[in-house]
Amino acid sequence: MKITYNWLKEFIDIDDLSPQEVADILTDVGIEVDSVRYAAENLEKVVTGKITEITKHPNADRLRICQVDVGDTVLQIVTGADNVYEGAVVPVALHGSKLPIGVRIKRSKLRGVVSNGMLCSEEELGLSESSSGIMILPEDTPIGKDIKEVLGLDDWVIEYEITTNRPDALSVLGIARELRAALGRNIKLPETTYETGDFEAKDEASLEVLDPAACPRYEGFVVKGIENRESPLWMKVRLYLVGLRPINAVVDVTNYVMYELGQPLHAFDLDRLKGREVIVRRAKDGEKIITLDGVERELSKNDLVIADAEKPVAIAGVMGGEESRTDFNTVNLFLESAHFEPMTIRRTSKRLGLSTDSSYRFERGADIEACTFAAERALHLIQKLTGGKAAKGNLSFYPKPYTPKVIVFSPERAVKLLGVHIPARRSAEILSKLGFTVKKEQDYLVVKVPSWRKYDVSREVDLIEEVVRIYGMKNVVSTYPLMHSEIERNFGYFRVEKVRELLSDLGLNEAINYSFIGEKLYSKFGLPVDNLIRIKNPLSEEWVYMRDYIFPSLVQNAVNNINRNERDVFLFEVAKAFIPSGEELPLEKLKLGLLITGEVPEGLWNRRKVDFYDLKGVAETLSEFLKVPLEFKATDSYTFLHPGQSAEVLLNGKPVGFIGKLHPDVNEAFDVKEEIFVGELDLEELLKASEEVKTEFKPIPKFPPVMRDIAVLVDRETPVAEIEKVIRESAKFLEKLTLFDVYEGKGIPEGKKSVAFSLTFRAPDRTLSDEEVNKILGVIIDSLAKIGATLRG
Amino acid sequence: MATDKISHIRDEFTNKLKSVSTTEELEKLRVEYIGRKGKVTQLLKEIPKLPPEERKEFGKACNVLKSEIEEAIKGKLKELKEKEKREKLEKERIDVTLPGRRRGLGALHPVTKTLKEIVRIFTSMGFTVAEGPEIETDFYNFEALNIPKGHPAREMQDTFYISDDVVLRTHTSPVQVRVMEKHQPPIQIIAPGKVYRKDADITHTPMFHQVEGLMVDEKVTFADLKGVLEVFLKEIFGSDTKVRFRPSYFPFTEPSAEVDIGCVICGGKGCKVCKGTGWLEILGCGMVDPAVFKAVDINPEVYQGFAFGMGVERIAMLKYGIDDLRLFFENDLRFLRQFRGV
Repeated sequence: MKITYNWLKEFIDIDDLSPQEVADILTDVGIEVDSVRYAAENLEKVVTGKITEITKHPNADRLRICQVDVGDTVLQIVTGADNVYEGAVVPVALHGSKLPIGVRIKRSKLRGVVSNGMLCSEEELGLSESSSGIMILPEDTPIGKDIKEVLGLDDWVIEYEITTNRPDALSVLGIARELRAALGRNIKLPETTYETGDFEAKDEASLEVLDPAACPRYEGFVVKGIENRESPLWMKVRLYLVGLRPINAVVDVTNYVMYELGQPLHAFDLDRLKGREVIVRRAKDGEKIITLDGVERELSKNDLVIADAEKPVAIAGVMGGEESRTDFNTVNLFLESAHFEPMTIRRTSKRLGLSTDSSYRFERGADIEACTFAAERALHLIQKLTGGKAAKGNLSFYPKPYTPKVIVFSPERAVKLLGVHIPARRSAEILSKLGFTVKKEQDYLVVKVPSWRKYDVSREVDLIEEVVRIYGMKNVVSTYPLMHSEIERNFGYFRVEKVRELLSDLGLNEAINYSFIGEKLYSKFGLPVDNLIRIKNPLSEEWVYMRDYIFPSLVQNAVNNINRNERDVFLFEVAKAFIPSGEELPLEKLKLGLLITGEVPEGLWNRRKVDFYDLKGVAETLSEFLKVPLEFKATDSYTFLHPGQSAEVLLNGKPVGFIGKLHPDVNEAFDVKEEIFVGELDLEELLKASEEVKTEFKPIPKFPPVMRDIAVLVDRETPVAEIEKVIRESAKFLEKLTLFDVYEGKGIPEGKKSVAFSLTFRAPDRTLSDEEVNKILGVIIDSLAKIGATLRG
Repeated sequence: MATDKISHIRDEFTNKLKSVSTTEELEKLRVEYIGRKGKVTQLLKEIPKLPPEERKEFGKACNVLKSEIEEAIKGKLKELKEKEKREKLEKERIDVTLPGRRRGLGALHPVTKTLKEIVRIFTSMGFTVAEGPEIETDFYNFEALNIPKGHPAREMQDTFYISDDVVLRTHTSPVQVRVMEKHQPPIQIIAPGKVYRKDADITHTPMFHQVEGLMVDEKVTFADLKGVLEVFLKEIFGSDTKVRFRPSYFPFTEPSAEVDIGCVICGGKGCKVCKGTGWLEILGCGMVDPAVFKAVDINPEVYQGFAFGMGVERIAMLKYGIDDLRLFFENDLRFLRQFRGV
């Protein structure tokens, strides 16, 4: 929303404040000012001049030589425009002048003829986006004057934003009210007098409101005998500065008053209203109207319209109809100043995708009490600009006049909530300067809400906000509260934080992907999407389903990185997986996705490709870190994994995820050759188990350990984990079991492998004798024999 | 005659000792002179053969010679050992500029790093972390927060719908409601997490992160809200950060404010990042609206409190000078790696 500094000055005395100071005050009270711009920025040395003589250019058909009286002298200026004539008053850019379009004008020769400046168009003055020909000023414009003053460009445009609850601030008057409260000054209201003719409004037209809920007030005024024309310069310029396009005097006045007072108005050509009837009703399904923007729109029965005897002539509160509009031929007009209910207007505006200055105000809530005042202001200006006589009286529908809400305001309550002592007198002053009616009772205030705040202010706390925003939030001295929460510390959150740190310390980079995925991604893994949570209104095909696996996104990330020639990709992501639950809300499970591909350092300055065991090492470290025992079991049940290089991860026998090499089919689907290893763990389960583990101190052993190495021959297919399990279960006093060699080949029978372990034994109460240890080893070897393992060498 | 022999052996030894360069040679020399069959040992064995009057003196001279040689050898040995140690050390010299053996660090995502910092500050103040579901009911996301159907604030946040009554949460504020439903005051929580809005362009991503804060008790004031947020902002952006509270509007707080900090890029002079205003909008806050208390059965006549919410990516962008929001979710290693370490 834009207004100008000078316009504001017509409502409130702010001569002592610069435009920027005004802007800062507004921001402080909650009207956020985006920018303050000098309207005549980069416009220098342009004056008004009168063309006294025009002659042909000797060397160019399309150029003409003008003698221009600029007050103190007469200048010769060459122009290419053909709309100039002798006697025309025009803007003249003098030698050395600056124009807003970013050019400097200098004395020059055009095809051999000296030109001492330039005649300007509206576009060149920064007044419009495009224009044809030189701007012609009114004949009575004084000559030799600075164009900034003549056009009212010596002004500042203040652009600001309102929050949705403050439609009352969408006008010069609304902003003036804010300043009145902030500065403790008074405001002046504009002229609203107008002449009436010897005829009655009720004889000229009729009014019927069929939906009082949607249209609680409608004021119709009639003006006859106007001469519609272009608006005067001052009005055109002002509209231009606030971003509106001048149309004709009547339309311009309705827009001008809307920006000035906040009340949207609409002028119908009375003679184009069939039966001179005005009916406010719901549209019939399928009814059509061509709106002012020239678009034919189909209406529905939820839309409120203004209709004449035959058909809709305007979409209420949104946009007028083409057929009933006012133009330069309009002589008699019907001026509408009404109040429409916000929801009705919002629904229609949204359905039609049509947002206008009018709908923007109505859907946020206009001032029901402003209808007459705004209409009278418009009648005053219409008469001033186009003549005509207004009818006596008007057509009025206002069955339930505004009764202000009464709120009891306790200054003590305000102090308790704000933590700052604002005296009751100060609160009363602020509220009354904002337009509230305030009556002081013993130790509270009885406050009546002004009509323009009826949608926003209804409770004591709303008044407290009013008081503090004008009092100044910066004047509230900060304090620090006493903290004493009884809510338990969130164990899981911080443990997840630690897991993230661990993984990044292990060399993995943390990824964050969107929670939504598309069918295309999942299909590359052969994963179905039918059971996933589906977004009803997705932004794109890639973002339709809420993912139940994290790793597919990581694979996509890896492929993108590989394609950028980043081949060593180590990623993890901690995120929620979404699983349908049959309840209203799905199950959300925290999962950990892992991915590694590429090379790692090996030895000194060598590199090797990563393999399954690199990824498994990550999972094992996590298991050690969280103190939860993870087991790994060969599996071929994941179709997107290599059947011989994938493992199910178990926690106390319960599956909690997988790790493995990506299946070549998936590589093919992504068109990458690199071996990629992925894993996914149910982090929530791991954390739950981890939460139960306590770190408990055990005394440091007093007696020395005994160490023995054994090597066994087993079938090639026997998993090492199985051998370990047998050893652990059969060995007494075994403290530590470490694998140190797995070997097949020379010296080992075909189909067998040699597996070597280092065993550490220790008794808590004595030093174990060789004899005792040999006995234990004997038991181990006997047990190993049961799974076909024999002692080697 | 006998004394000549002694001085001859002494000279001979002294000469030979000069040419000794290893401990092995030195040992050989020791054996040659004072070993069991060494030259000096032999001399001593000759003593009984001498006339008695010469024996004493000769024996003394021999012993002097023996101890001289012993001393000399000891001295030489020390010297040689020193030398050999030096040579060994010299041989073991390596190129210390060669890189060390390691796997290298990974990186936490900048959002995680920023979130950690935010959470650390608030938990050190006494706030507890609370979490809630990312898929929410209309009730928690809107209704209970005083945003009924048809409220203009619903349009401010474009929402992803799962069904008519289930949405991807558009803010972390529903966690407020869930916590207040479960716990009576005093309450001091922050709620970090992912939120979703149907918006994707250069300054919007359909998913981003927020941190919500809530403090409710009998006497928590707006002045307290200012105090807590000022401490936070000065902690995260530096102690000389300027902080400004601006009245604003949120359906679930009243009064409401937006908080700006002095632009960290230009220091308040006005630049592209702050759009020339010198200020950066950093979070929204306010006193919990009584309507929210009513929705969760907390008596607004007894309790009052504040709530605030901030965007994590926004803070991360300012902290690290990241100029494109979309980078956060592309997982480009050239981006992620920059956030390794402290």
